[in-house]
Amino acid sequence: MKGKKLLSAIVALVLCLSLSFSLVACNNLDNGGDGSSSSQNGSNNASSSVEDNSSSSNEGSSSSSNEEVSSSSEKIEITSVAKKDSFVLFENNKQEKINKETEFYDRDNAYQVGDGGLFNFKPSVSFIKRLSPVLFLPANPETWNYVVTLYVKNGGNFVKVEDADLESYVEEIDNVNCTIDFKEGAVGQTFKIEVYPEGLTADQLQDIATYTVTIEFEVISAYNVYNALELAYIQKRVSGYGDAKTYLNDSLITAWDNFFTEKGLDKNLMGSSVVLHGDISVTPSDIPSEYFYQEEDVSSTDGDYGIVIGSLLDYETIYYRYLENNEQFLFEGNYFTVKADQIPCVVRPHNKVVALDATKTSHSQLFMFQKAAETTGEFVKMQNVNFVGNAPKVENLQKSGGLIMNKSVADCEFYNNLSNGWFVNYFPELNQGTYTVNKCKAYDSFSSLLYVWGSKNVVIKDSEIIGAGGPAMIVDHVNPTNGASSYPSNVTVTDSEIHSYVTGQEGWFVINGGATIVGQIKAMNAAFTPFGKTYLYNKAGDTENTYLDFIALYKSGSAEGITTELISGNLSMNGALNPMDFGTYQEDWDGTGRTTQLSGLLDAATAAGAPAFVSSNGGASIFNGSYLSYEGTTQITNPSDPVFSGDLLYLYYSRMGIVFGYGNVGATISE
Amino acid sequence: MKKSVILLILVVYIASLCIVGFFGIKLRIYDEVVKVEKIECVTQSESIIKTEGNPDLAFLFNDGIEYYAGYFYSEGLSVTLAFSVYPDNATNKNIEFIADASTQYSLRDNGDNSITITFNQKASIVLIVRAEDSNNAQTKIRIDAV
Repeated sequence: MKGKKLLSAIVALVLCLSLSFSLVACNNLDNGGDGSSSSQNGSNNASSSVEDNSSSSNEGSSSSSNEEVSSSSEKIEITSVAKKDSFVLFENNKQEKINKETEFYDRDNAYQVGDGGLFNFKPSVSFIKRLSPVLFLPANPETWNYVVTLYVKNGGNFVKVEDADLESYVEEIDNVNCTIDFKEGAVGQTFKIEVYPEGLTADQLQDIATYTVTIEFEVISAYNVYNALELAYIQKRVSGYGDAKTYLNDSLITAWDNFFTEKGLDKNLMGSSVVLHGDISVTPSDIPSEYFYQEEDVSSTDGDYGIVIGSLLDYETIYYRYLENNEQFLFEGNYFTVKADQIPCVVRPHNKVVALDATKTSHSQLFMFQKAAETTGEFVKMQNVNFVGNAPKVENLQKSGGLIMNKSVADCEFYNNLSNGWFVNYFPELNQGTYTVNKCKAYDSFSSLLYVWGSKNVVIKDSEIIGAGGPAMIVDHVNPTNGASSYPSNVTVTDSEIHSYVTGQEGWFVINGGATIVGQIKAMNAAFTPFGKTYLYNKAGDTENTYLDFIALYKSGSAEGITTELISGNLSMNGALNPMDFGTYQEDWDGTGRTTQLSGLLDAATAAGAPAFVSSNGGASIFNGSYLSYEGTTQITNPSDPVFSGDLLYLYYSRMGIVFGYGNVGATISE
Repeated sequence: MKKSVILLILVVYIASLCIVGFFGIKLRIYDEVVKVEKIECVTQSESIIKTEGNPDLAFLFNDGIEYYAGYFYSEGLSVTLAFSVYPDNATNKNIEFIADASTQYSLRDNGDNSITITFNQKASIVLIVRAEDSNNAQTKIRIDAV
């Protein structure tokens, strides 16, 4: 009998274990590549038909009578002359688009050229070689001469640049490689170049306009960048500054130094402003290998061994720029694209070994702008760029290790940019100046589109920020209980659309354990619908889910999850009558202690553990578990109460503030 | 243990496997956007238009970097090239055709990811074909009509 019982117990145990293993196997463990792209893009700077390796140089407009003849006496013919690919793309990128998410707000900027390094304007010339009367092939002569004429804009008209003016503007013009090296004296001027290839036939010369490329541009103080390797010139890394949390790994300073030597980059150019002349794709081969875990860095017994090799280190910055007093940094995109989708994600959060299926939060970024606390007068501007990252809003939880697009401690403005597919797009960090996002469009992030970490004055204007896996913005009060080292965050939004329509089951909620709370929040919506208001939406074509428009989450930065620490911070959104404001503080940490009419209500609500709802029109209520009330007991029954109006609804719960889009019952979303 | 208990355990076990296998351990709802990764010219040489009275020597090949097509020019020569985008489940499969403006040719986007190029004279065109979504996938083709 005992033996039978023992056998039954063993059978039951085996069944339970095998069921457990099958449940684990059903987990989504897609650890595939981080968005590898096999697209061909215009970052290849060679023209479509000519590659030159000679380097003769002449100043000013020039011509010579070279004509390339093949060794087999087949004559090379010129069939067409067009603008270089990058200029064609520049003009196209500025146009109105069918897909508005890829259309820049400001499409009126002229082409910018730097006075640092060469400006390459070689046209795209189509050559053919006739092998017989009935056979021809494309030709690629090694060298070819061009006739180049330079004009400068003077009083509204373009005037040919010659003699003394040429000397003041130009270091050198190369009429074979079609490059020009501008001097500092050219900065601020507008120029025009006309260029055509030599060797045109008499008939073609009769129609010279068809074979002449004309481009206009403005010269600025910046280095001309054509590929990802040259992006390294924006860096300035200062040894010995701060600790690991300032994202300055001294070993990477050495790594970059060696990388510059290995790749033949000029160390004297570090710390430059830059201007792009084509699409750029940053790949692992464009940065030191020290950024990625190698075989020798890990052990085969590590829980994440299967996926860690080749992954990105956490808490690292790829392009780090330290700014001094009054230093100005410009990143001019010329409407081109910077892609980082081939950079691997972080697998080891905090660079600690984790289990294979562990979730994580990335702390690594593509750009970081840092300064010392006492530095003043610095300014960073990134403009006219399309940024594509490696962590779009997808089901693959490994994308939680994706890149943050940029962090900045320094005063900065991001103007007229597009950004897609980042773990976080914009990240002001302990920024006590002003962090401005102006005329930008940001979409499709795995986590949030804006993460504000202890930053005093974040301004978003004339922008569109839509579509995160979690809230559109997460706003932290850093060290809320630490007096002089306490950094609340404040955000001002003007004339902008900020939305994140989520069901609560996205990867961000899975990782941060928010699914249960979302369920509770959704349930409370029933207190509003009898009055014709809602913060839940239906989506066209989706009959199964309801969506929250999760605009902002305000919380303490002391933990990545929920805390009960009293925090401060506010959100003023599109001129709302009643901005969200956490009100009174126990200590006047910043010397400007604020109070709001609702501070007593908030303290009462949060102390009791009851959620408080406040509308952007000024109405306030406490949800007592059954209905909305004024103070916890007296039910709000008047449908005209201001709590039932406004475009935004603020939920204060457990010392956090959540901002939702607020609409009328029956509202649907189409996104 | 009674046989009925063992039977019950087996039934629960098998049912659990079926349910978990069907629904998965976590149900996640996404409006995931699948971006275009690659664009490819799918027009074959055999389908290239041949103009009567002219040598029918026309060819289309991929040199591993970009596509190239060559034709002998005749007045009114038109070339139609079709493109496919990958992956098949890309959310937005529309593409745009980008080229330097010229009097040597005219372009007509046929709206079905194909383009018709009409040459007004002997000329070449370098055409960039790019996806409309934000991933910036693109390819390039040069067509000579000479």
